[in-house]
Amino acid sequence: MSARPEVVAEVANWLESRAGLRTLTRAIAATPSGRTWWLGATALIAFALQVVTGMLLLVYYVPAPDRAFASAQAILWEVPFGWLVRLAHAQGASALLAIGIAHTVLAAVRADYKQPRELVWVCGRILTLLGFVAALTGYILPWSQLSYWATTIATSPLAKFPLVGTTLVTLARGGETVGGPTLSRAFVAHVVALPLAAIALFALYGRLIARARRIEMRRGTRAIARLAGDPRARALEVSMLVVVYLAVVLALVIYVPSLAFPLHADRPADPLDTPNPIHPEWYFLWASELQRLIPDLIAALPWSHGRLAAAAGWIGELLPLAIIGGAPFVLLAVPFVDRGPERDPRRRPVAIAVIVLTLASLAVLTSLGAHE
Amino acid sequence: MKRAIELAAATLICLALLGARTASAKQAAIDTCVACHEQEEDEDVAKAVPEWRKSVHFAAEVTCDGCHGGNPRAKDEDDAHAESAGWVGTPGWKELPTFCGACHESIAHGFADGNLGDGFEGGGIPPTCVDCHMSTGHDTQHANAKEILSDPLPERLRGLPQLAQARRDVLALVQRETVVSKRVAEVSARALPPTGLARDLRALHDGWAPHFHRFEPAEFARADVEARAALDTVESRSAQLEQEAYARARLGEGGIATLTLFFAVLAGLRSRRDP
Repeated sequence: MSARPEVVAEVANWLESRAGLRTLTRAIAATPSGRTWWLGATALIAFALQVVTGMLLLVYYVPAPDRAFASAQAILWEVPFGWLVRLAHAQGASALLAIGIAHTVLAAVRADYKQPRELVWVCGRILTLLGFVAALTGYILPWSQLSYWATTIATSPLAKFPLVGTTLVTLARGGETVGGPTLSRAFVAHVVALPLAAIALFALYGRLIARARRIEMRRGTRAIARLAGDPRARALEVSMLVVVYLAVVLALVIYVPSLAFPLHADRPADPLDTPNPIHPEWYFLWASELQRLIPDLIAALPWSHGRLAAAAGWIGELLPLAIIGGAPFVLLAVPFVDRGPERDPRRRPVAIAVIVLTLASLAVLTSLGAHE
Repeated sequence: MKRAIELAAATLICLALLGARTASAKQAAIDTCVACHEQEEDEDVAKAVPEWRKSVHFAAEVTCDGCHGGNPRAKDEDDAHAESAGWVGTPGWKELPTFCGACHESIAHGFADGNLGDGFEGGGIPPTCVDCHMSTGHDTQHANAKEILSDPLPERLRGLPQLAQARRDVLALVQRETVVSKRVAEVSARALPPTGLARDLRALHDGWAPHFHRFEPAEFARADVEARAALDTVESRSAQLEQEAYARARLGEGGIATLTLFFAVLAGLRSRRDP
């Protein structure tokens, strides 16, 4: 410290007296940490990269139906290093969702939803779900054939809901069909509402988890490693995570750039030309496959013909929607359903079986969807 | 515990449904026609089913009724083959272009207007769809011009007066197209997406392929010139994209190397802070 130039020390002291930043970093560093803190920290880093690359994209992107595709293409082909920013944003979205899924699975296996962590789980899962919504809204913005038709396919099932179906579709699209108002809504959600909500939830998550860990330490219900409280050690660890994450995204950008650009992403939106087939991104394949699977299955049942055909058709259309729409609520309800005290995975065979079977189902559906 | 068991059961049912789904997808293709014809004692009739399963029609979920008409859900043989159900039966040789043309309309028009279609005049038996696309009857495949025009030639193509020019022009073009296709595939894997190269190549192929169905020498020559110019453009664009991809890869690898070095420095600093 003595080697530090006097002027730097003075600036640091001035900042400390006004903002108390040193106190804050010490407090963060002294927060008790679990063994897998790095996964949540990586999610935060991934989100930060999305914010930074998203802001850079906004410099050139034009959110208007007649200019969105051209501006997105210009970012890729004409803007210096635009390819790097756009691909990092697109690949980063996939990486962020993969981290969110991994975090959810790990938390479920370790029963990180049990008392006193119920709200930690709820907050974390809402953040993961927001990631999916952000991916869906971000998909629309380049206004390609893929954007247009994937959005049409994603929003059209809402019309099947009894009574409120048409209202829901109009609400999502801003009109009867996908068009300019849909783009405006997706833009506002993706660029303003979702990032603000995510920042607030990340802050809340940090507070909730720190509180839960203190309670667990006090009760001695869980072995938690307390760091030495060295802010520099923690800063170095976080920096190492940042470096690893950036290297992984960079590798994805250079070696598999096509991952971020599925079929039909290279043509501007054309409402009069329906491309076939439309494949969603990997994280929505399970849902699209479910929408194909259940109507087929119900139609194949013997009682689906004759007088009950209409009812069977209705069930076939609504059941997948109920499953897809209900899944987030099931996820959020987990802490209030499984309330036993046991956390050790080896002593929770039923819970682990449910997790494994759910993952296997999603994997099979995703695989079927990918080969459709 | 009870709820957890219910959840597990629901997931198991979901998996079971997945198995059933595969069955239901097949159900769409394997209808009454297949069920009956597969058990047919007449081998010529029965072999249609395994042949069809190897075809592009099977892959595209085009079932028997798609070409032959009839009612694939009928329980009775007569109902299934009733004219009122749209049954068109098996076409004669001369009817084949119209039969396939029910779906492949533009190709059928090209065929009828060109040299091949003219071959029917005077009671001739020119090559039709079957010669190039269905070697055994129901195993419809995409035809490869290079394979068709290489020895041994399909029987009905051998006597065509335009054959020599077709072989010279088309084979040279196909050879070039194959080389450019391979290059496009290599470049597309590394280049910034979307390159549009595969789409351009496909459009080019779709542009000259109809000439093959007309078999007109003058058109071959004209198509050859146009296709070669388009291939030149695709190739030069490929080269440009490849250079760009190379430059990006080197830049990215430099970035990864720098990050790795930075990580090593951070790891070293971190280890010094351990007690």
